[in-house]
Formats: sequence, structure tokens, C-alpha cells
Amino acid sequence: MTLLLAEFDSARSLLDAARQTREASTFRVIDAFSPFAVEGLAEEIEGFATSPVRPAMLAGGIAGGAFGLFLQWYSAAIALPIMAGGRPFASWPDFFFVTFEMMVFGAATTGFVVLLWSCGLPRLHHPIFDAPDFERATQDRFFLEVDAGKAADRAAARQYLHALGALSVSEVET
Amino acid sequence: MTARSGRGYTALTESVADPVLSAPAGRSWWLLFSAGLVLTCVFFGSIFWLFYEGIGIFGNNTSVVWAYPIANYVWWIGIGNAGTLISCMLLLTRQKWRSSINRFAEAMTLFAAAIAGIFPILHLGRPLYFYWLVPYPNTMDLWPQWKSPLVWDFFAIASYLIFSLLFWYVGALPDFATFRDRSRSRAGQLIYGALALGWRGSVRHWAAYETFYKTMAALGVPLVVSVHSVVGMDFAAGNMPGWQETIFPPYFVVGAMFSGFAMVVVLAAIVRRFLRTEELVTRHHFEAMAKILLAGSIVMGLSYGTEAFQSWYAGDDVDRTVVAFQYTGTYAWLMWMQIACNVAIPQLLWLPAARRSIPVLLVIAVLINVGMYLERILIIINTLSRGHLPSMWSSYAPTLWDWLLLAGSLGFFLLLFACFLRLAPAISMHEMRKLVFEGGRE
Repeated sequence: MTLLLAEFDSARSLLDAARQTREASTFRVIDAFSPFAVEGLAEEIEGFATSPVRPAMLAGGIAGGAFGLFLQWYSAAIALPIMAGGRPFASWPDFFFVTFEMMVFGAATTGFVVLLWSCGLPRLHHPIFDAPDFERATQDRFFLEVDAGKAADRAAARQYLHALGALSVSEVET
Repeated sequence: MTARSGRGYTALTESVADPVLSAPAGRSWWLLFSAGLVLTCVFFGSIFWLFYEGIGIFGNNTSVVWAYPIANYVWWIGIGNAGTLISCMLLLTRQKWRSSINRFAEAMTLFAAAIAGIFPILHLGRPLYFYWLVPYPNTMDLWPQWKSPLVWDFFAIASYLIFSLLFWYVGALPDFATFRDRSRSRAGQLIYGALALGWRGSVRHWAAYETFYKTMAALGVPLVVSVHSVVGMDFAAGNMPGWQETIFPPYFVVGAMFSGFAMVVVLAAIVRRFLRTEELVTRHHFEAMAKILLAGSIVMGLSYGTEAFQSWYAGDDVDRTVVAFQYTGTYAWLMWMQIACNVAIPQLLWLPAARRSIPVLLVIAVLINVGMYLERILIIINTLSRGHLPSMWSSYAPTLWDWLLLAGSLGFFLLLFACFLRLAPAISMHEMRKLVFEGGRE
């Protein structure tokens, strides 16, 4: 699929261009690339879905904590019960810290894995890296990825994006 | 907090990335690196001698069974706690000045916590069996004793190290991508390219990143509090006079934040000097940190007072003996030095001129770190020198190896930090760009 990649010099013009394109044209806003998290940009992207990172972290945290608690209960009450000072074998106040640490550990590692998975990383090379000037997407330039459909429409889209303040428009194959 | 006016993102990226990617290291960096390298050799040499000869090389005796290795551990983990705590708390409270200091504060956490984790192993009589703390099915049918704070400690430090590494690495991921795209050498492109994992800065990347990062920050604050509370529990769960106090967990947490912030001040001065980023780490940042140090010193003073008052008010003879020994006994001069460093001298920060002067602040920060070390070692040796049985009363003096291990650990930290300054993005570029945008300075 051939997409158009328009380059802008500020986050403000990227935001405006994305909004304009979505609201007032027939072209589809596929993605946008910026050197920092631009607030409000996600709403302009077609088919944008919230990432499942947070619910995954909740599940990972619960699983980690439950595993920690089970591990302590099993080893202290079943596998190796040691009478220490007449306290019950399964004394939950003593189990609190390890359960908590395991919960945080579970949430953090699950979150990291799901973060990478939902970003499609690691993927060291991507066709978009071949686009001219794209190395500045992590420095000081802002890019809008637009699907204009057929080749004939792409020429119109180029003009449209230039009119919105794009410094340059290039084609990328994905 | 401002990038050079007019050139916004470009200037900001240049001022953080170029000293690492293209500028030569410079003589002062090589000095820092060499000092670190020499002391690192001392550190690992001492560890080798310790493993060869055994823990008899330490000044510990049959009464004072804990000393420098445990004090080193508590001191380093305290410094290690602060980076993540500062970073998470300032993020959650939307303190925008955080962006200038959080990256190297987090690196400080990683290095300090890793060094701290070494010391409990070094103080073991049979260090090769440290892994018995890990619960795993084994032929001996043994499991850890879950009622022991030392086992809690193992879990706390292990989770904390992994958590801090993930938090630091994910926060730096977009900046590694900047390094990948800016690097002119093939090696740089390959190494930073691998570290960046192919980050493209897409809207979807940023959305997932922000969700993860903020959730981690929310988890980080209670985690840090739990980690240093567990360190406090190592003492408080015992039945020694001067240790068995409910104040210990919060008192240790505040002490950790206090010493860690002092270390951040020292490192901020180094980062500023080596990366020439005076416009990113400004006097405003130092002043904000000075205020936190001042608040910390007041809480520390209150804690010392509460401890002494509680011992007197509870009326237990053994407790009172320990407190009297603290303030008038063998190590009293160290106790007074501790109070001077941690409580008295930081009061200078009430003066706006002192808060704004970086040399003054630097001296105070170093003194606070000295004072906090004194606190860690005195908590241990005062109690152990004046335990329940007068026949066990004793006194303690460190040996050469105690000093070499302490100095060596400082050198190892210095070496790691020097490498970090030359190899990684020491200031969060993507967060600073956001500030440029929000400040309307595009």
C-alpha cells in the first residue's frame, strides 16, 4: 500500500493538519509521528484503539501477588512448617511484604511485555525509516501519514497537505 | 528549564545529544573516569581478599556483629530509593521541572541499588550460599523463613532493581531512538538502534508509552516506601534496644529520600558541568531541591527527637542506656557530627541566597551524605555496643578493609555514572520537548 507522509516543523501545525484532514477531506489519517507525546493527536487518528497496557498490568499484578501469597502459604504451612515463637504457620501479616513486592513485580514485567507487544516492538527496521528526513521524527520534525487511495487522488492529497503547511510530502510503501 | 530561545527542539536535541555523540570527552571527564576506575579495582580487589580470607578482615566483633557492610547497604539502598521516588512523585504531582533531573536520578537509583545489593552478600560468613534466600524446590527440602525481614529484603531489592531498570529503560527508549537517528558512526547506529528497539514515535507508541509510564509511576511510590520500610524492619523486627521501634520504617524512608535528594544535587552539579547544560539544569532546579532538603532536615530532626523522647518516656532502662550512650558515650562525637550535618547545617537553606548558590548547596549536600552515613553506622554500632547484657558491652573500630570497601563502592558508582554520562541520554529529551511545546516556544 502506498501512503503519503507529510512533514511539519511544529506540533501545532501537525495537530491542525491532522484535524483538518480528518474533518474536511476524504483522505484517511493513518498515523502520526512526533518526537514527543503530543496531547490530543490520538483523537485524529483513524481506528485508534487504547492500548491494553493498563488492564494487563492489573491482571499481572493480581497474578504476581496471588502467586507470592500462595508460594509463602504452601512452603510455610505445607512443605516446611517451622514452629517459631508459637506463631501460626500461615501468619498473613508476615506474608504481606513479599506478596506486595511480587504484585508490583508482576504488574511491571507484564506491563513492559504488553507495551512492546502493543507497539509491535522490537522491530529494528521498518519501511518508514526509508522516507526522506524521517530520522528527524525523533528530533525536531513531525510527520502525518495519510492514505489518499488511488494514484490520481494522491496528487490531490499532496497539494492539500502542502496547503496545510507541510514542508514536504513523500510516498512510503508499507 | 528553557531551551535556547528561538531554536526550540533542534537546540534542545543538540545540547543533550551532541556532547555524547560527537564532542570529545574532555580532561575532567577522563579524571572522573580514571578515579572511578582505580577505586573500582580497589573495590573488586577487596572483595576478592574478603572471599579468600573471610569476614575476619572486618572490624566486626562478637558483640558488634553488624557494621560497615550493613551500613553501606542501608546507605546505598537509601540513595538508590530516592531516584525512583523523586521521579515518580514529581511526575504524579505534575512538577514540570522534574524532566531535567529524572533521567540521571533514575540512573543513580539503578547503580546505587545494584551496589547496595552486593553488600548483604559480602557480609555473609558463607557468601556462596546467598541463593538459599530464593524459594525454589530443592533436594534439601528447605524453604526460606518467611517471618524473617532478611527474606523480605531479598524480595524487595530484587523487585525494586527490576522495576527501576524497566522504568528507566522505557523512559529512555524514545531518547535512544534520537541517539540512533543522530549518531554518525556505524557502531553508534547499531548499538543505539538495538537499544531503541525500533521506536518510531508513532501515536500508538506514545499512547502505550504514556499509559505504561504513568502506571509505573503510581506503582513506584508505594514500592519505594515498602523497600525502605523493609530495610527499617531489618532492625525494628529484632528485639535490640534502639532498634525495636515502630518509628523505624517511616524514619528510614524519609532518611532515604533525604540522602538521595542530596546525592541528586551533587550529581546535578556534575551533569551540568560535564554536559554544559546550564540552560537545562538551572538555578531554579537547585533551589527547588534545596527546599526539599530543608524539609527533609526538619523531619530528620523531628525523628531524632522523637526517638530520644520515646526512649525516655517509655522508661525502659536498657533503652535509656542506649540513648545516653548515643549522646555521651564512645561514639558521641560522631552523633553530634551527624546532627550537625543532617539537622543544623541544612538550616542555612532558609536563606534564599544559600539556596541559589550552587557551591554552598553542593557543600551542604555532601555534608548531608556524610551525616546520613554516620546515621546508618551509628544506628548499628550504638545498639550493638550497648545491648541487653552488660557483659557483652563492647566497642567497635573499622579496619582498613572496611574503609577500602566503602571507598571502592563509591568509586564503582563514580565509574558507572561517568560511563552513563558518556553513553546514554542523561536528560530526558522527549519530556523537555514537551515543555518547549507547552511553553509555546516552538
